[in-house]
Amino acid sequence: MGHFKTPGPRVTLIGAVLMWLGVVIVAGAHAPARQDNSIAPNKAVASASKSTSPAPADPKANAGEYVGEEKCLECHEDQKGYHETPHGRAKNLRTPAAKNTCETCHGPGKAHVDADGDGHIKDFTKMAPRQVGETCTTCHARSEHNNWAGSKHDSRNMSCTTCHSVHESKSLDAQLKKVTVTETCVQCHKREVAKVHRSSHMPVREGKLECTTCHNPHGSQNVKMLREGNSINEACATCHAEKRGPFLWEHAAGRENCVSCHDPHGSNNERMLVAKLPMLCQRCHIASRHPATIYENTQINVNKSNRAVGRSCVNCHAMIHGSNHPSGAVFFR
Amino acid sequence: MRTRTMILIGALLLTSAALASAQDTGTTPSPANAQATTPAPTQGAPTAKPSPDIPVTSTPRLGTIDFGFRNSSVDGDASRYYRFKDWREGAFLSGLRFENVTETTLWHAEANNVGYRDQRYFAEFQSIGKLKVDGEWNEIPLFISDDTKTLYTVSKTGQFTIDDNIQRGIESGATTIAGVINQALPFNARTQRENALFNLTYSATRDIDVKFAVRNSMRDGFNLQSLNFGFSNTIESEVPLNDRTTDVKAAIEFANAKGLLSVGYDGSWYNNQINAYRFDNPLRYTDISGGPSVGQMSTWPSNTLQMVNLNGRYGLPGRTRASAAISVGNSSQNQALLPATVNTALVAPVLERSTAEAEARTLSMVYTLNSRPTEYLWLNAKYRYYDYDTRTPSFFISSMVVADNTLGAAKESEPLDIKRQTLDLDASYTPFQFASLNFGYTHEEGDRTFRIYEKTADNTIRASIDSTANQYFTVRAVVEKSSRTGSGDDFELLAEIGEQTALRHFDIANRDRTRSSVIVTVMPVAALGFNASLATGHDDYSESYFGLRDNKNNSYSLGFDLVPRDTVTLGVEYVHEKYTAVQWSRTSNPLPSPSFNDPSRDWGIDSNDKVDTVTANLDFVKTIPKTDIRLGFDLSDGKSTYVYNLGPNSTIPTGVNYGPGNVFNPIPVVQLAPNKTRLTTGRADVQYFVRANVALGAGYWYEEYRSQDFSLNGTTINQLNLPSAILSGYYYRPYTGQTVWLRMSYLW
Repeated sequence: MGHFKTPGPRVTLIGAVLMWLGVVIVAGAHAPARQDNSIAPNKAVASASKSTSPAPADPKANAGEYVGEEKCLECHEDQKGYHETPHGRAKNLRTPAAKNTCETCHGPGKAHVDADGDGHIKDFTKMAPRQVGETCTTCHARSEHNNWAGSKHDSRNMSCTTCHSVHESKSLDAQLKKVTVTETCVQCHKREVAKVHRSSHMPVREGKLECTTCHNPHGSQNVKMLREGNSINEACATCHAEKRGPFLWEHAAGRENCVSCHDPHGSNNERMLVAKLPMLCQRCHIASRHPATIYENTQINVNKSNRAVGRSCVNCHAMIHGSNHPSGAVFFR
Repeated sequence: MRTRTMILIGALLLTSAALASAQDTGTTPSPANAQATTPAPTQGAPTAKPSPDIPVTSTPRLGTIDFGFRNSSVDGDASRYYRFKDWREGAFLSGLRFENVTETTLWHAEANNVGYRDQRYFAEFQSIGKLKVDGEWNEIPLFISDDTKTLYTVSKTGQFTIDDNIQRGIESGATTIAGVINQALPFNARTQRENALFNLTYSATRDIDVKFAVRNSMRDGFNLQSLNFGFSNTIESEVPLNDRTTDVKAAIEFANAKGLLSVGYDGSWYNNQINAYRFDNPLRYTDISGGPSVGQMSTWPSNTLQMVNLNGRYGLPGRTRASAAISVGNSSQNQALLPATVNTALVAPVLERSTAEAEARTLSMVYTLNSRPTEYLWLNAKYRYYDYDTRTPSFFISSMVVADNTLGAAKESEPLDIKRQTLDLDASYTPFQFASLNFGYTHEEGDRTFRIYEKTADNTIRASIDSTANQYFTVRAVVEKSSRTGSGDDFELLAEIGEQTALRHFDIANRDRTRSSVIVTVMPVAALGFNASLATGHDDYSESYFGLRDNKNNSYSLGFDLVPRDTVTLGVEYVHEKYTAVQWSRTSNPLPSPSFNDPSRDWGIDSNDKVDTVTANLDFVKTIPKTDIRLGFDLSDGKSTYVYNLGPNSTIPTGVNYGPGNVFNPIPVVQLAPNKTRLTTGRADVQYFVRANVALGAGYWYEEYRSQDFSLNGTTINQLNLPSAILSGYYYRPYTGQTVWLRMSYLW
């Protein structure tokens, strides 16, 4: 792919935003009303699931449409288990149990009952993913879930029920469909999870960290759905605060991005480096001094050069992340 | 050991009481209820394992506890087997999970591997709907080596001393390093991280939450690091570590159906108890120019980060949401500077300031506009701004002292500023309910100081399809192309430091990137599911003559999950990854040497890194009455090669100025042996339920690590004193570790 000519930043930004606004205005003119929570009585289940219900139902407005939980359980006894989940804690005014119980999420049930259970209710297994998301985020719209709309997972047409199950969860926490967070993530992120089996890894497979320690799968204001900070480095420094600096002498590549050198998911190289030393350093340091050396077998196994054996470059450049020593410009000190 | 035995006795007593109680109440769940719901075909997703803290049942229960005895044996590198875990033999209590929920309150407690180095405790209280308080104590060991040695006596404060007689003897020539290296004493490089967390969320009203969190992370112990006196002498040793990071977060958040507004403060204080490492030079007792008796280096400076965050989101007509997140931060450290050298034979340059005066201000803004104006259309625009603005005054030293050895050239620091602006535009069209076609464009601009490109612009287009419409078949696929170009080039920066001006730093170099991936799931019947994935990526740095030129990654995976009956689950997955890279360099002397511009001295490295990963799980849950059997297997088998290539008409093999004493070694290039790493894990767990809520069990864990590494192996590091280094003896040592548990589980 050749380089395509880059318009100026202002032109790009303004043009893109204008174009986007145009689409929103044109398309929005035909959008259904935001609070439309009705379900056409004579539509099938699939149609019912297309209704939009971004806001919790207002019992006063549709009092006659609600049948109550007891009625639901007459047929759906097996779904009673939700009482044991956080959704079932009526004392919390933000839960479905504190509102219209089953019908808080599934919508008013009268039409469903009248049709002998044939459709006319929101069945999350048959709803479009983004409709599911819109329903859940009417309540789950705070800190952890604040950035769902527009997140990477949202953009790939995933829904809350891709990973979670309200009625049939298998995990100890977070009502996941899988037993663990890792089992959940590996369904799509094969490579990343495979890397935790490498010799150099974070304590994920030991159970001390999990994918969600670093990532917020519901979206975040950081890149890569990182949970903390506003850049990759800020996220890493949450635990590795010693490398946060700022330092008197900075290693530019490190300041720019930790993952230029490290693979946080795991590696077979020392300290989760993306390549073996000294080769990794030699990708940027081609100076006319020792980095330009071929550290081949004779150098390592016969001469046992201290620039290639053991810790290689960081045998000497030990403070490679940054130095606070007045003579630390090359990170010796 | 006594403590653990007491813990075990206590657990047994508690359990006895609980058993009696359970019999009375009649609330004990049946074994059937104890199981998870009928496994879906993908339940056995094999790559994720239960926490190896102990192989426990994964069934959500209100209360569980496991206790018993454990025995481990390790043949080989025990430190790597125990790197992040503590499975020493003895009594154990683990998997404790207690929860009591009433209409108004929730109590929750957890404990794992009580009394060991990786123990964890968690407790939570909720006044439901009003207050949520939780706290955690979590210890994470990091065991690096147990077969390493050093000549130093190392203090916890960072003093590294060697017997004066050794220094005198070597300085006078009466002895050598080889003559004294047998006096090196063994040490364990091991650190312990202790995390204490406290979280509080108070729901003042239905719409308002007040949040407060404190985290204390303490590290203590000894790490492995090198201390050096320049090219001729580097010393790998244990180094003490003693630091603490305290994070405080406070926020108030208002949210309702219309939107959200929150204001928060984040503060983080990193405090290092050790400001410097001061280490004797084994080769010298007295200072001379070119040979100090002692060296001193800085450690991580204590530092502070403070940040104020403002978040807002508002619902607009047409199912549109606008949100903004603004974060203003300041990180700083003002640690007293060490002297430029501790070598008394050198005239240390006068420092222009006595403290670091290091500061950086950050400003982050994220604005998002998201809309689903119709059932079929989803639109998203996100603008991200990030500015890392270094305010540290440039630091000038008239003569940098190289490793306390010699006075070198003047140096001036280059405070690095980084600014990134990113615009993401995404649209998704959903012609069918469960299928979407997605298109996106990203424009990212980077501005930075003191790098070869002042600006970079990265344009990315992408398209993806996500279809989950068919219960028998799902597919997710994405293809992405991007092009990054730099401008405002300042290649003189390279020339100033003697670098080749044709070098490009790969993290900001001009680059064309192509990435694609597809994941397919096929479920012909409910009891059987297949999954396959394919991913490719290619970074082409076509304008980079020196440095990284090309980087590719390819992977595929195949797996299946089978549930022939409700009580049997089998999952197998295989992942193959391949990463390749091409980089080029030139062996030369600085200008005005003609070698600097001599292409016949060019050489490159072709890197090839392949890893095969296999994971498998086989579970029999009550297939045999009252018995659960769970088996697991993981294999990660990696091989990487680094092959040197010489340019046309190469003159390198006949004259390379490297090696001890920088003598010319007229030798041909002898390629490096491939690196190989293989980690195999097998596990078995059997539980027999003598009662509905009481199980006797046995677990077995097998782990085998094999490695062949060209620079970290026992052949290369076959002695501590190498020609220009004194090492600790750390290298990749194989091990075979086995752990057996005998345990009792009680569920309530």
